[in-house]
Amino acid sequence: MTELKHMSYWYDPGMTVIRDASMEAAEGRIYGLLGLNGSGKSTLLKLMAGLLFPKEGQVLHNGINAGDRDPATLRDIAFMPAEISLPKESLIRFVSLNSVFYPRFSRSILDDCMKEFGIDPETPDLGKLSLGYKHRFMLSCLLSLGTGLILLDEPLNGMDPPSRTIFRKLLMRHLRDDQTVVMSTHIMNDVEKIVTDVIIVRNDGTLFCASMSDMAEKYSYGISASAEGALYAENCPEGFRVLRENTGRSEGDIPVEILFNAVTKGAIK
Amino acid sequence: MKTFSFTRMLMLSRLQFMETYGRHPKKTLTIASCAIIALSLLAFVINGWRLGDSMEAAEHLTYIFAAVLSMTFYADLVANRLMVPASNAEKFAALYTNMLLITIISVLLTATVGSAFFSIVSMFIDDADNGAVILFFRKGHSSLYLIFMEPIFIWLTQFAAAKKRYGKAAFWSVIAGYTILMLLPVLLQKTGVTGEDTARVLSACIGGLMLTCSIVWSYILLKKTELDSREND
Repeated sequence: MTELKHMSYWYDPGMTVIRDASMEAAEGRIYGLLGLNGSGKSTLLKLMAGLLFPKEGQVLHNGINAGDRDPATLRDIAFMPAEISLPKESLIRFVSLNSVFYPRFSRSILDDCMKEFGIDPETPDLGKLSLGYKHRFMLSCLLSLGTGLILLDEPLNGMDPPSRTIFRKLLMRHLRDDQTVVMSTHIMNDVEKIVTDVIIVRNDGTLFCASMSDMAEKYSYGISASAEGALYAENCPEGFRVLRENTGRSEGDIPVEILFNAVTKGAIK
Repeated sequence: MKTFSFTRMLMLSRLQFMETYGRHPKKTLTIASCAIIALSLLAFVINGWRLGDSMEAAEHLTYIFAAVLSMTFYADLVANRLMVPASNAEKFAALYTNMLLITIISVLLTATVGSAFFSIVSMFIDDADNGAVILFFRKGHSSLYLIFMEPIFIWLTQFAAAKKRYGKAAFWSVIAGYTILMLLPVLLQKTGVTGEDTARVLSACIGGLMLTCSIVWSYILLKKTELDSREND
């Protein structure tokens, strides 16, 4: 389990990126990390990976400070940055040199993922792969490492729609019950089918964290001719897309985009 | 209790070395050999084609060459290996292991390729020291101490990268302090305060102190390294 305890971070004094964040990323959950450009999504992922040290508060992974970069902690965290740089070497050599550090590495999962993504296991030069194929390969690697926490920064960048479908399929196929995924994305349509929770970074650096099932219990979504009594409303050709308090005990899915807009515009605290 | 795994350190050292310089070994060795020949030629040019001085200069340049190549290991460590499951101490030891390895390879290349170059060129130079030479293994070779400058180079690279954290005043004060310390024995000797032997002993003591400080400070800087470039947040 990864915990943030009253954690704040800034690159320059007076420009706080993450402000007093407290949350727990529990086992078996898939978190969609959302926020406007420059809001701090990549920063938050790096803090959780131990690549940045919080200015205030703590980031703990299984009770240990992530910034200590203890080998046991690092063996349990896999991080894929938005900008991937792969060495100019063969796929076989890359896997043989890097997988030795992860005792739970699974060759069968890697092979399955590469087969589904259409990656040639004999690829002679990883540096020559296109952006989309680099993302596919890195995702295959990260799923095969068997780490407890998987952090993905814009994993769907450069991936065509069929590949995104394959990614969702592979994630559901190979994710263990004790694994946690946190993935940042701008493409909300792709994540809302698989995420169990959302983390939204507001413009002021505070975090909104909630499970989709809790949101479905608390709020109801619909298209209405009137925005009266709505917590949040957006114009649409049919009238208004509205978010209301759920008084009728009905539980329908809340579109992630509506939830995101409602949170970032202050309609939901 | 923090433990140090020698096996894990060696695995990381192998990973770094193979991915940085081990992709095309023949091509890398060819390029390195050409670089050594270029350095040897440079040594001749800056020493006016005097064989003895040129050999010493080529040996010095080899250590500088190795130090520059070693910096790529540090850059690779920070850019690509912070998430590798190894402790800070293991990463630090792997860095120094690779630095030593690259220095040995550079010395061996210079001792072979460089020596062959010098031997050939010496046939065309009217010099009392003409004949076959083997750099680093010749009589009068005295630049082994320069190998100890490499950790200071690594520290300097890290310290320059951390300049923002320390502030301009502190950064330049430390650089000035290091420079003054390095020049102190020479200054004392030139001004007649100390004799040559005392200056040499003082030089060795200061060198040892600076080396120890650089290694310790390097380790602390590595522990505090962050990937704080603002990407598409």
